[in-house]
Amino acid sequence: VKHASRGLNAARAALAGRRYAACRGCWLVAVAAVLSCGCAGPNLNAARDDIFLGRFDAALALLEDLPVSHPDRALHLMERGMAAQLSGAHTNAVRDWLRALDTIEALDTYSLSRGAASLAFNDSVQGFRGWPYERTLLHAFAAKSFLALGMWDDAAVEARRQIARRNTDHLRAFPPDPYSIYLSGVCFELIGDTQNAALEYRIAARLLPDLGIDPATGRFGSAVTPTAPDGELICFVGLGRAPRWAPPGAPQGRSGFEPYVTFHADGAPLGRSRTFAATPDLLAATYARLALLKGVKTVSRIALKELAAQAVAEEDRFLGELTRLLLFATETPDNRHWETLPRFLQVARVPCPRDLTRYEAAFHAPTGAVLERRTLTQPLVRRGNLAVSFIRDIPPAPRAGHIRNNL
Amino acid sequence: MHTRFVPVPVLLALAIGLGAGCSAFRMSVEDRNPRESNPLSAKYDQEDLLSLAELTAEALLAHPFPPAEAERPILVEMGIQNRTETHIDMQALSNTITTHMLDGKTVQFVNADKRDALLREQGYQLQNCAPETRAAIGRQLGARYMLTGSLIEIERESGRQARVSKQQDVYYQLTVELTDLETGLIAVRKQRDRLRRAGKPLIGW
Repeated sequence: VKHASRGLNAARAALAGRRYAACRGCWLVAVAAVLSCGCAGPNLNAARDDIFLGRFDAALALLEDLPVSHPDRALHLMERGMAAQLSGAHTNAVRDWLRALDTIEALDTYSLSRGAASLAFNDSVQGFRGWPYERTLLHAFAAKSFLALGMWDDAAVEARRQIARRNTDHLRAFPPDPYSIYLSGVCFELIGDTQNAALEYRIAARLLPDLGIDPATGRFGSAVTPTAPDGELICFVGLGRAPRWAPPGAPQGRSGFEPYVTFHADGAPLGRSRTFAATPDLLAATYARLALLKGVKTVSRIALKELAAQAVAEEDRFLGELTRLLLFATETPDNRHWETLPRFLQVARVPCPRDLTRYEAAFHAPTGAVLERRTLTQPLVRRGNLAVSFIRDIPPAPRAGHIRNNL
Repeated sequence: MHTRFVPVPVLLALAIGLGAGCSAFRMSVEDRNPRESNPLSAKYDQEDLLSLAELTAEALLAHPFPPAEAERPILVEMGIQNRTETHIDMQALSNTITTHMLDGKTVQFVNADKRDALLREQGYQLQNCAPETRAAIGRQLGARYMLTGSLIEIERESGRQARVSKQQDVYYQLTVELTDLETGLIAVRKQRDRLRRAGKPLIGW
């Protein structure tokens, strides 16, 4: 009996020691959770604001020093690339976007340490890979900068990479993006690969039946003429600001009542832009696709956190509540997005003079009222009878009206 | 009181760790033969640049080309098109092919600077001009043959299944042709290819 009693006491002591160790472990986890859960950072948010105010140099200065092994490295590169493209530094833009794509590709290998951390804290500790439609648009925007540089073959390389990524995403039932698909068609058309161009145009036509895209030529709207036009201007238009998060069940994207841009050359009207994709729609569809997966993971994480808090509370109720508070304070949704993307992704394909060197763009509200007029000479590149350009409704320099609009 | 010994496996692991650490944390530099270094990925690398260019140049000259009656014909290099999913320096590939062909001492090439100057004069860049424009420029430069080509890539990955690594096959095929600028006929066309397989871990630390 004496020996049994001693053994029981030793077992109790050992159990208490283990409980203490477990309690200490939970505490360490809770404190680490609070310390490690960063956010996008003030620089990134400030840079985004600068971009939308047209202060591209200020944004680039804020994003000059990139975090080396930060989970948001790809996001920084994506936003910096956008600032570079909007400022006209296309070489820097493609450099940043190609690095972002390399960073994302490296994340194909699932990190056990970060995966475990995301189960303990939240999803923000995992490397940002971009949402599927953002990854597709990354190729599309890089292709646009290659086009601006007259590097047709490289633009087509990005088109092929985009198709490869789209095929993977298609298998996982993510929503297709007709804007990127049409852009790929243009890239192929520019290098004379008309068959692959027609394939892309056909997919875009199927996704957007209301636009009447001719699968053979890619023409739509005013570009559809009985005879081939002398020259054609293809302009990729970005309007508005991508949403920061997806309100459940309320996409505010392509509805037929969107702002648009009309084009003129030497005073003669050429045509208008049409909406091919809207980021709120793409975001909402992606959220819906991932809702179940994310829900299961969040529930599992909350259960784990509750278990840890209860383990501590068995030893000390006050510490248990404190642990619960710390652990659940880190329970935030992963709302990281490429926020400088436009809300509306539009394309205009209009007949134009063959020797077009400048054009006027008028930005219209959904009601038709003209908000702003701009004359553009660049980016405007030509190959054969196709002129390619792109435009964004962000003012090139801060002006009172624009500042008020963006605020 | 009894003495606690550190277990032998722990000491062994520590020794290995420290030993490996010394070399792992030290910068090392060594010259390697670019043709014999082990590939680090299945994608295009320096080994492809050298081997594809050399094999293609040898194949072109061994066709037989140039014809026996032609004495060191003048060629103009008009670019090799990148039709891959990789951003590749195609000028480097063209330069390596022309270097090998010049080493054979049976052909001559128009200087690329002279070619680009004429293109600029006529409002073109090599990347921008259409095939017919290239031929016209080649004739103006006094060349008899025009060297053009394309590089394609086919990439395949293993499908979705329970596994810890992913297999990736990457295939490249280089096609180079010489067009007779007087007749418009293709005088020689040669293809060289390579396939490389790589395994990529799906789970890492």
